Parts: sequence; structure tokens; C-alpha cells
Amino acid sequence: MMKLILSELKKISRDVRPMIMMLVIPILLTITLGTSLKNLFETSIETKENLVLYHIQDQGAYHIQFQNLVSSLKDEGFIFISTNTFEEGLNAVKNGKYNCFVYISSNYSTVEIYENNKEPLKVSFVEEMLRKFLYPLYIGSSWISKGEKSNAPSDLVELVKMPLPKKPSSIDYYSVTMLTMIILYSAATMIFSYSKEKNSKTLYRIFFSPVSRKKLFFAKYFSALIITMMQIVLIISFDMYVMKAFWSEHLNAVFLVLGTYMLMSLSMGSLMFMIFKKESSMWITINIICQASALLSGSYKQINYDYIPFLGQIASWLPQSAVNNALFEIIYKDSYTMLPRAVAVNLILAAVMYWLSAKLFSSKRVIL
Amino acid sequence: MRILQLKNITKRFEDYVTIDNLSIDINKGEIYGLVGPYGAGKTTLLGIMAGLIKPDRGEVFFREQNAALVNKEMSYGIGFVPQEIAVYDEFSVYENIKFFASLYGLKGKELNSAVNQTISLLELEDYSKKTPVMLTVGFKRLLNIACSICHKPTLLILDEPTVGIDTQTRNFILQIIRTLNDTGITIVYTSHYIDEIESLCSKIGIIDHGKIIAQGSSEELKSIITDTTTIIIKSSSVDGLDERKLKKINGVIDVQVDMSGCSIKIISSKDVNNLDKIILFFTNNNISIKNIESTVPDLEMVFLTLTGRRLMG
Repeated sequence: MMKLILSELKKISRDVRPMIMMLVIPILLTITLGTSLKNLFETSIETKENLVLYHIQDQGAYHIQFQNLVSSLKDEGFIFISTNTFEEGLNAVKNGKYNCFVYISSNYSTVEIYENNKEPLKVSFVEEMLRKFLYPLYIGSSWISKGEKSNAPSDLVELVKMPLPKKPSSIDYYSVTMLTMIILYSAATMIFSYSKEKNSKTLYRIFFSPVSRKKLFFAKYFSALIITMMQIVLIISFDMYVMKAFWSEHLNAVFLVLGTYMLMSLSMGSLMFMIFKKESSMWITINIICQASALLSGSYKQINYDYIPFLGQIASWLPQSAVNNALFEIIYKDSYTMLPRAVAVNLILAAVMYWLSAKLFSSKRVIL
Repeated sequence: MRILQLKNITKRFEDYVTIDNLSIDINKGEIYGLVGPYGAGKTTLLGIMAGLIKPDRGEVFFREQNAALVNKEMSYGIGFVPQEIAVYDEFSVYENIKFFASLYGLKGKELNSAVNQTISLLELEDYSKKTPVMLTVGFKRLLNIACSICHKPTLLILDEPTVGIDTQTRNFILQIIRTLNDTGITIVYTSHYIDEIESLCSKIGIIDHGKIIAQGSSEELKSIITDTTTIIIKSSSVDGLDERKLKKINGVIDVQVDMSGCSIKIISSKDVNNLDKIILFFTNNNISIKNIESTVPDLEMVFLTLTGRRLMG
């Protein structure tokens, strides 16, 4: 078994052209699509830059002083707008509509600034102004007698950072979708491996030897899996370190999803070789499947299926959709909720197609 | 002792009967030549002999044991040289031989020794590091044979191993086959070159339409043809010779014209005395006759007489 796997690996690795194609195509597509369709991924949220939201629990004794501060900040270009609730202000910052929200508790004992890191300099200015406003109040208050003088100035205002939710840039998006598309194309690696042996009649020679077809089938499958995995690791490394695409810290989960998807794709390639007699039919079918799957799963451009719901239904059942969705959930929401579905779909399809193609391969009718 | 026996074998591909109730005995140590035109069923028959193709009817015995029961043993005991050059372009000559030998369970020193012996036998030492794409067709054919003999089979089946190669390499391959046979390996050999079969094989089977229509040594087969005679006419030029008109002369069975050698081979029925008519045909067509001779039948004629077709072209 080992010698079969090693010889397969040697053969595949010495055939440089398909290897380069598998490596270069996803990278080139990511760069091309990522650059040309960049505007599709730019955020459409308009941020009200110099508007500051605020909410005071109880204006109390310092109401006049605070209004003076608001007036003076207006002169600097900052307009303060009061919100009805704390949550209203917080959400406005969370979703990126406003850069900053100031919360002031009763008696000004707690002042918090929530910001989303979009305009840190401007927020820092507001923070400084608030500090200057609060300091005299603090000196004149009873707080001083509580022995809190030593660290009081720095504690007067608490800055709470609320980073906006991660969203993929065009390069991030296409580095995922083009990778899943090329993994589906790895079915072609399997077809190529068999058809090359068939055309050169070496398959005939191996069939003639005492080596069982089951062993040969597994050796071909396993070595194609190793080669595809190596290609995927290289592509992701290039994406991460050269194109600076974001793949998150959850690489184990990412590789779990991609690994099962590879198994599914390679099984599909094996089955195609066993079903079709003509090589041209295999290539046409694999191209149709890969391109249709990429289009429907939104690999080129996200599709709104509101007007064509039946296509949306088909798309939702595609393994590529399940894999893309699971990967975006893992990478951008730190969530594994869609991982089990993607893994299960891939493994079930892989097992069924592997079993069928192994059965067909074992029958002498096929190939000879 | 019979090393391979095929009993009443029939094989169909869809509606077409490729092998039709065929029986063959191949004895240990002989070189069995299988000759037949394209589509006669030779490759299918070799596939059945090698255990690659399962017959629809009949039985195959290898060393007197039913092949269906000793399939694995048969794989170890038989070497098969396919008609196509079945080697890996990504591997060197050495790696190709080593890989195919390893499929037969050879390991370590035994494997290396078998590979080196094969390379030495086929005089491939200078090419062992080269890949097949760097070799001439002749050396590719040698490599094709090397990959089939490195596991030391007891029966070697060769399907047209000399197609498309120069005379020198062809003679070398024939010499290798004789050497292998001298070491005790039984050979089954097919070729379109009837002279190869005649010079190499101790027993010859003529196959047509999936049936063995004659079998025996070269002399035995020639003795079948007692009712024809071959007339060879040498001329200074064969321009203007109309073969069809010549064939219409009573008793003429076939006409073969060698344009470059300016000779005409006429196979005629022994019972018809038509020599004067043939000479008259040449005179009337202004084709001068330099020499006329009559020869004994050769294997080509045997084949032609039995099948009604020529082997080549």
C-alpha cells in the first residue's frame, strides 16, 4: 500500500503543470476579483462624524455646567445629541452610525465614553474636554474626602472600546470563495490521475499485477488528498502572509471544514471517471458543476434569491454554500453553528460517492 | 506439461462474438506464435490468457489448475507485455522497472537485484536514469518488455512487441525472447510480421473471426497448402500492370506487386495450367519479363489461403 501511495505522490508531484494551475488559479482569481469588485464590499453605512450622542441619567446640580460644556464643544464643531435610553446610544455606536456615545450617571459619579475606534483622535478630544469639565466638579465634591484623590483624574472618564463587527474585505471574501471553488475542482485531479493511467495503459499493467483494485483505488484517493491538502495550505499561507487576507485564529475549524470538502470533491472526481466513458464528457461535466456551484453559492457575487426562491433552495443545499457559510461564520463571527452541517453534508456525500466509485472500479467492466 | 490451457472459450462484446468456442494448449518451454489479421480477436484472447478478461463461456487452466481458483498465483506467474508502451513518463527507466517489480512483492536487495539484472539483460544501463520521453521508440519498447519480465514470470505473453521499430532493435528483441525462452520461460507471441513468427515460434496458431483455424509448426502449416503454387515474375518495370485484369485469369488466386523490386508474386491454383496465359498477359501489356520462378508455399500464403485475407495491409 505504502509503495503505491508513494509512487502516486511522486507521479503527481513530478507533473508540475497541473500543480501550478491548482496553486495559481485561486490566487489570480482572488486578486483579480478582489480588486475589480472592491466597491461591492465597501461599507455603505454613513457615519455622522462630528455628532456625539449622550445620555444623562439625572442632570441634577451640574446641569448648567454641562450645557456650557456642550456649547463650547459646539464651537469646536462637535454637536451633542441626547438619546432617550442608554441602549439607543450604545447601538448607534455598535452599528457604526455614530463614532461616540457618552453616558453620564447620576451626580456625574460615572462618566463612560463608548467608541467604535473609527475616529479615535476626535473621541480623544471629547474625552479630554469631559475630563477638564469633570475635574473642578471632582475637586469641589465630597469625593475628595473619601481619600480617592490619588488616582481620581485618570478615573474620571472611562473609555470603552466597542470594535465594529468584522466584515470581509473583497480580498478576504474571494480568498475564501475562490479556495472552495478550486477545492471542488480538485475532482479533476482524481479524473486526471485515472485518465492518464488509462491512456498510457499503465492501469492495465497494474490490473494485471497481484495488487488488488481496492488498494489501488485507496492509494490514488489518499495521495490525491495529501497533494490537495498541501496545495490548500500553500494557498492559505499566501492569502494570509502576502495578500493579508483574514482567516482568523480558528484555523483548526477552517481546516476541518475544508478537509471534509476535499474528501467530497475527490470522491466526486472518482465517481465521474467511473461513470463516464469519454474523457471530454468528464471535463465538461466537472466544469459545469464547479461553475454552477460557484455561481449559486455566491462565490463570485452574493446573490439575492428573493425573486427566484427555487434557485435559493437549490443553492442552500449545495455543499459549497454550506462550506462558504460555515467558513464565514467561523472567521467573522467566531461561531461554529454552521460547522456541523457543512461537515455532515461533505462526509455523507463523500462516503456515498467513494463507495459507489470503489464498487465500479472493482468491476472489471470499467476501464478495460 | 501444459502451462496454459484454454477450453472452449467464448467471449462476446455486446452482440459481437470476439472469441468463438476456441481451445488452445500451450506447453511448457515452447514459443507459441499467434497470428491473425486486425480484429481477429488476438488481443482479447491474450487478455483472457492473462486473466484480465473473463470469458463468457469456457475455462482457463494455468499449470493444470482452474484459473478462476488460482487468479493471484496466475498474476505472479505471468508477465504481460501490452501492445502499447505502458510506462510512466514521470519515472526514469530504473524507477519504472522498480515500481512494476515491486507490485509483485519484491523488496529490498531482491528487488534491486531483479531490476539490475533486467536492465543488464536488455542493455539499458546507459539509459537507466532517463525518462521514457527521452528514449527512442526502440528503447521504449525494450523498457516495456523490461517492466513485464523483472518479476521473473514463467509465462510471458507479448502483444506485438516490435511494432514501429527499426530492424536492429527488432532483431535484438527477438534475440532477448529466445534468451528468455532458453532460461525456461514459456512465450506467447503475437505479431503482424509473419517472418518473425516463422523464425521465432515453435508452434503457430492462425486466428480469424475468433477461431483458431490452423495450428502447428511452420512446416506443418505449410504442408496444409498443397493445392496452390507461387509464381514470381521479375520485370524491368511494372508500370501499366493492371492487377485486377491479372486476377481475372483462370486459376489466379492473388497478386502481390512489389513496385520497388519490380516483382510480381502470383498465387495460382495448382490444378489449372495457366502459365502461358500469364506470360501472354505480360506480353500484351508490354511488360518485359526478366525472370520467372515457381516457389514452395510460405506462411503468408498459408495465411492467405486459409483466411482469404492478407496479414499486412
